[in-house]
Amino acid sequence: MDSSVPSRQLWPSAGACLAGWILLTSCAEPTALGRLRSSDEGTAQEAILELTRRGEAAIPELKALLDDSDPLVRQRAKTALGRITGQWGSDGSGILWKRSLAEAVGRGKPILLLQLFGSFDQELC
Amino acid sequence: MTFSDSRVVDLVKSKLEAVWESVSPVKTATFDLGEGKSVRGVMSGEIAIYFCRPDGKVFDILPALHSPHVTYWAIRDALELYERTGATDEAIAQHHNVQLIGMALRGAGEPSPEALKSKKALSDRRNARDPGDRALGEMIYSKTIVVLPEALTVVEPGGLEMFKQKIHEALSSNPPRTPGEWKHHVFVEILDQELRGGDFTYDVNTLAPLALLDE
Repeated sequence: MDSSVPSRQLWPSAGACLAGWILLTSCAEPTALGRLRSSDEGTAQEAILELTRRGEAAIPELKALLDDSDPLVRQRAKTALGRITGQWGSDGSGILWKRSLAEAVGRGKPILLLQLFGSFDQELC
Repeated sequence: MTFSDSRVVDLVKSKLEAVWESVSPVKTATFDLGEGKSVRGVMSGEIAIYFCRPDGKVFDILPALHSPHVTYWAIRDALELYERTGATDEAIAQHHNVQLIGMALRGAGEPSPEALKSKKALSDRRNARDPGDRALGEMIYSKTIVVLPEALTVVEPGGLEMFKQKIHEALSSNPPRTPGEWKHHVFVEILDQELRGGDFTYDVNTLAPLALLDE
């Protein structure tokens, strides 16, 4: 480094910082919640998967989308909530279902196990 | 609806670990009406609720789908048994034996004339010659119907006493088992449900509507 250059000049100005930030945010990937609005079904499905992986932490934001004006967004939010809670049609405030007896055994509480045809987290089970 | 009922939800969340497992894919029938039009319906709606100790052994069973009210009280009763006795092997057998004797003394659990008639009609539908006819018959009497844009589950009243008698018989005379070990007995022997699902497509022209009209 050239020691003759004043150190102050090594730092970008506040204006440059702001411009960089605006550029970065405008190019950033939409969040998983944002991608639920995608017209591309594949993108939306990936977003549902990501939100499902996030688990209970994603419930409040997904719950808010149940009132969205777009029926497709509502349906996708419902799908993600169903996968997280284990129950189709759940708004996230109800029961959180485990998917196997092994997950529930040994936790000190009695167990309620529901056996059914199909999957409880999908429509028309 | 049952597991969205606030009383059921609060009780389950506060006192129990909740688990579901599928016994088979759902059974659906599609009737091809021609020119790209079809009708699709679900034919299997039975469920069973098992109450297990923390080690996974069953101490009580509620077979079939019931109203939220009936389900709530079944959960309360099961929890009372667990909290009072710990649902030891001996307590389970004794409890169900006492219940069985109580039912016998009251004359409960015997099928009513209406239940016998329904059972015969069910048997006749299942023995129908044409599989499409059979599927349509099952759909008509299925507990699940589709009301767009949501699926609505309809519960037939009654049947609890008859099923419970068989549950008391089973749990009073067998060592504790897991739900997986009870599955076949509960669905096939008690609920009379085949553990077989899948999608079936029928040509609407093969139906035998007169057999259905007779019912």
